[in-house]
Amino acid sequence: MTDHTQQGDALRGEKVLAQARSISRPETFMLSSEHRGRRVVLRDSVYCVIDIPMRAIQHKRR
Amino acid sequence: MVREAAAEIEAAIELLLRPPGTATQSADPEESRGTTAPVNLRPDMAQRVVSAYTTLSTERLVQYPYATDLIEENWQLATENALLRARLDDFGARLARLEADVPETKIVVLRQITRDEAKQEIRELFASGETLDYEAIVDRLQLDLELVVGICNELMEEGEIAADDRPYPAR
Repeated sequence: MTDHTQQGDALRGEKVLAQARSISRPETFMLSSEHRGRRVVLRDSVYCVIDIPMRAIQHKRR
Repeated sequence: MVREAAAEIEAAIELLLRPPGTATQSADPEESRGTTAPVNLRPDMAQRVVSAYTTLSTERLVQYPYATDLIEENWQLATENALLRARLDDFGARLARLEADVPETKIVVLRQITRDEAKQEIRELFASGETLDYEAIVDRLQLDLELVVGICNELMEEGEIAADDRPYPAR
């Protein structure tokens, strides 16, 4: 897995887990006439990761 | 007198049920007394006023001819009550919108344990065969997100866990 730390790097995913020292109040914006999106700003010690479901690998016994 | 009071009531109810902005002002202030209810009252509020008021029917006016002052006071109180209820409903709706915008705050005290201990606990969590994501692990073990991600990456490289690509119902 890669850590992106440069300004302008982007994350795109179905579910992103994020933590930071401060989080702004969510803002609602219009994506289209029927779809809305919400936006927050994270500041200070921000860490985000695209979440993935994981499970244990079952090793077959010989 | 009773007939006049009854006519006044009917006129007031008619005024209340009239659509907003269609009220006619009478030139004679004495004539319009008792019919000065706000015309911007919502129809459901107006209906509430009317139902509150119908308890005093014309028959009761006949029985108690000197009740016109009480009736007028009752009329004013019912109107005020309806306006206050309307404002309360609006406040309730605004509060619900504000509450929906405020994120739920949950304070989690992260546990301070060594990396090896954390790795062992994550292994034990996966041992149940359950599919877990970072969020679930962080919630259950109350560990730092960055630590959990690092350990999960290690476990994936070591071949102990893998990303679950099965469709949602199968998980």
